[in-house]
Amino acid sequence: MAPNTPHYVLTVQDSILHGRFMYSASTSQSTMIGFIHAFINGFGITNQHQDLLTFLRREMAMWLKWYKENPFFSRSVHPHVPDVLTAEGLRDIMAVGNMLELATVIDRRCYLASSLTQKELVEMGTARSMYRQILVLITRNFAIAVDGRQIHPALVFRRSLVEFGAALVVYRQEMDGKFSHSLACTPEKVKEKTISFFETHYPNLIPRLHQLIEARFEFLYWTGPRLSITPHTDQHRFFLRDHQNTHAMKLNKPLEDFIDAPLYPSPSNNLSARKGIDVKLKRSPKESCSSVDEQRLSVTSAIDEGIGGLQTENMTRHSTSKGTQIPFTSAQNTKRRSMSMDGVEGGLDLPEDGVNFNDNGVLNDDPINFGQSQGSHSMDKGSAPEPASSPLTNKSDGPEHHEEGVDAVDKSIDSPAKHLRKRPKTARDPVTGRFPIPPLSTKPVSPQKGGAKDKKPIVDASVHPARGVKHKGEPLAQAPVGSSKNPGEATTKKRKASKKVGESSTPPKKEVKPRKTRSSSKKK
Amino acid sequence: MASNEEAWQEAREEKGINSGRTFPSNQVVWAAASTRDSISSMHLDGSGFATSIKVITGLKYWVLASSRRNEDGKILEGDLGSVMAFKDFSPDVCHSLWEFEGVLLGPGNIL
Repeated sequence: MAPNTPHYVLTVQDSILHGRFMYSASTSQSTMIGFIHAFINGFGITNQHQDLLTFLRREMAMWLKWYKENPFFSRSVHPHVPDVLTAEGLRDIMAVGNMLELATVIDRRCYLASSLTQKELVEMGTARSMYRQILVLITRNFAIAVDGRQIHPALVFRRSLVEFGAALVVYRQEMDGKFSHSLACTPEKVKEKTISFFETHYPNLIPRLHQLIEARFEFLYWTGPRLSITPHTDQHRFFLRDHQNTHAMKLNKPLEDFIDAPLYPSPSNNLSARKGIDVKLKRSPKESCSSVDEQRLSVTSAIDEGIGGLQTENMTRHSTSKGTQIPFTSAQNTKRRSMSMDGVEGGLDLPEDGVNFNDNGVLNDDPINFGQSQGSHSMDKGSAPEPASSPLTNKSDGPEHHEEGVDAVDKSIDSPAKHLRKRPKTARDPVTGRFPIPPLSTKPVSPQKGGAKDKKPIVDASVHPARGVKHKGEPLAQAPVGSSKNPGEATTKKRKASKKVGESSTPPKKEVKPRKTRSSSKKK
Repeated sequence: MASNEEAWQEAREEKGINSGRTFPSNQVVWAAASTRDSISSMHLDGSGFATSIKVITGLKYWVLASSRRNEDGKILEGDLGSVMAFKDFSPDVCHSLWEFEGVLLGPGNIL
């Protein structure tokens, strides 16, 4: 019996039967719909089970495993993996993926005080990350057309997600008071969690989400145009810079949004938005967050202007701006993240959700970060908490952590010690390979903190922590002993000079001052 | 058909998956004994599960509902994929909205 099948049973003769519940990959859409019916309507019409979403998370893990190995695997050998080359298979993946994305909204325990276990939280985050990795693989290896016209696959996934989210909110509102519900899982809470999720992960979809909610969108399945999927070939290439495209490529230009139901309002403002790109990027974070659509358009134009040095084509490679040291605000980081991804994805606004890609196009998603970049986590915010001592917070243990994630950068920016991590690299001497002498050597030492010798470790530790590390390792180990012009000499001189300067610049009278005050206070 | 069981095996070693958890057989494998004329009213199985049953002994009359469709296959009112599917839920309304199909299951039959 397929999922989402209402039924009743009559016992004609005394009977005993044996039963089994299961999830089948081929009925994933019905699974999703049945699950949502059960979640919204509570105990009134269904048998409830404890957390069994782990089955779906594991299914996603299995799907990713096979798509990673070979996106064109033999479908007959792996009947439990949806075939993306069919619209049905793609919709099956999206159905489960949407549930994993909105896992904290559709899990009743997230509305209760009892918290989820850390392992489960990690698994939830990992599963979402896996879904996004599959999306990357699909985007790279397959081309999607709607009603015969090419469209960027990300748009399909996003439309599916935002419509699902809106339907969820509408559903809970419509059914309020119809069946027995827990007091915690109110329509307001469901809406709040859903909006919070989109604000954190897909802010550009917020206007569309509100639009759908207001329109009382009611379908839990794909209602968009007919999808057709083919393997990605050279014919599907399209460059962002128009002059790089041949006539044939221009004719095959992918849609930038859905025609029947645009995800992004007023996309025709691209040209006017492009003119204001510089102004928008320099705005304060509050201003820059004012309009989601503006962000998108400005990002698009940023790509056209060549910001980020992106020479990309549609649906081919993913890259990320790596190792940035610029102390952007969180909002600006979001924008930059969007920029780097938009470039590779054909000028479309791809996930601004901690979905990062390394140089190999592999997703670097913090699997346990459900969007809250800092502070304590509340289950009422549409995001699962990030366990403080999660094994995956250690990047070496994470599934795809080849570089520092953007979310991590966001956290460090707002942390009290942000300047400690960012200053040293900019001050490095290209000749000696060392960092130049800090202001200690040129400025008089503060009289209240004692002499230069006393002050030096304080400065090293609080202002240039990385400098101390470099002094210990690189120059001493790398400098040849016999070379007279080696950088070691220069640095030795510098050290001496700095010492002298520090000593000479220290006013002896001021050194004594604190002692005097102490002794005077003792006498008193 | 049971992809969740296959996935449980294949994803066991994947990073981030709780490998310490045992297969929750107590929640997905079950048996039921019922006496003559007993009825279970209209319901959906929870958590979006598909269900397979095998009658060991006795007779069960299993009645399944589905959305009505027109000749073109388009779903009419009572769409089970809509958030309005259970808006006015009652046995009478159900019978007017959905199509029903009954199956009599005897010993050895599998649904």
